[in-house]
Amino acid sequence: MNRILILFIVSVFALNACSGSKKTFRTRAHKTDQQFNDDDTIAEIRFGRNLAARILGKYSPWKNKKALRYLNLIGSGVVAQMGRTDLEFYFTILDTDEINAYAIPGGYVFITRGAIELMENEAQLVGAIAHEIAHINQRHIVKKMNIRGADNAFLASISAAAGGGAVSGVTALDRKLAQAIDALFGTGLDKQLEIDADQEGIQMIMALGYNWKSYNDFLVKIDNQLYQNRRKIISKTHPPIQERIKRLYAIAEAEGMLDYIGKLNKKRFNDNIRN
Amino acid sequence: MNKSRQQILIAISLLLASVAVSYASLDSKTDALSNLGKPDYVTLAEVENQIVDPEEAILFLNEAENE
Repeated sequence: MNRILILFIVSVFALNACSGSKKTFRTRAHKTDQQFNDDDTIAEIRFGRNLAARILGKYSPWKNKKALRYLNLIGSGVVAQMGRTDLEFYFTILDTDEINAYAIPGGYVFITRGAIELMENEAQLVGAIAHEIAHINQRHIVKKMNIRGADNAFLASISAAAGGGAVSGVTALDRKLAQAIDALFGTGLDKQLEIDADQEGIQMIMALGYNWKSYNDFLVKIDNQLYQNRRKIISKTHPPIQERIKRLYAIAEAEGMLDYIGKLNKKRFNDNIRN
Repeated sequence: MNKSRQQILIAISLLLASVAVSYASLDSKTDALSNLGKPDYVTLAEVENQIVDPEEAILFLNEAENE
């Protein structure tokens, strides 16, 4: 009897562990496949629209037409240089004092008014946009959430959500949305992904002729303003600011741009943002 | 109550507790969603309509400023 009981208890825990081990296996299997096809991109866009709509359910866009048009001109200009060609990119400013920017799969880049107001010039705005576009280009959330076109259960849940489906039908979507929201609003991505986005971002600032050191100043400013209370949490997923700056200087040195003084476009920035 | 019955009861209790923990974990994830609000597809469409002409954007970005 005791043997049967032990077997039963072991089976219970094995059954419960199954979902976790399956997920780990799937993630690992997809990591070996770096190729993304059209179906994957379609799944990414559909997921991104749902996530973007959720965020817009909490934060309204800033009703400042001049600033929004300015952001879209700058954003689309940067996208023309570095953005993925399989996506349409969209930009907006969220009307909140919070200091943040969000790179949402499918090409949605949201920057908060708080972050924009902390900036001093166009070079800093270009840097922030380029960093977020780099996250989308490199599919950081897509890979983290394992969003794939071949995931039929996930796609069915998106369709169910769009058609007002039953709660059970949208669970797969809800779970992935919750994970993405955790990554965007809470736990962050991870240190290496931030470094990768920094690298692509700073190279774009330099290629466009902007003052890359001003973007560094902005990162330090954010660190002082935003991370004071959250440093312990942020430090788990973001490299320390000193490390980020050190790496950015190393990139500038490798590119032969260490002494380059690029444009700031401070007046144009102020005319459009602080109007 | 004999010993084997007690053991079966303990096993069933463990099973129920394990299922409860799984659901609690799922609930905490859906809480994060409900805190973020309901999706606003109307505003999303407005955001998607803000798109500008890429050529105009490139010219705008490349304009040198007299500072």
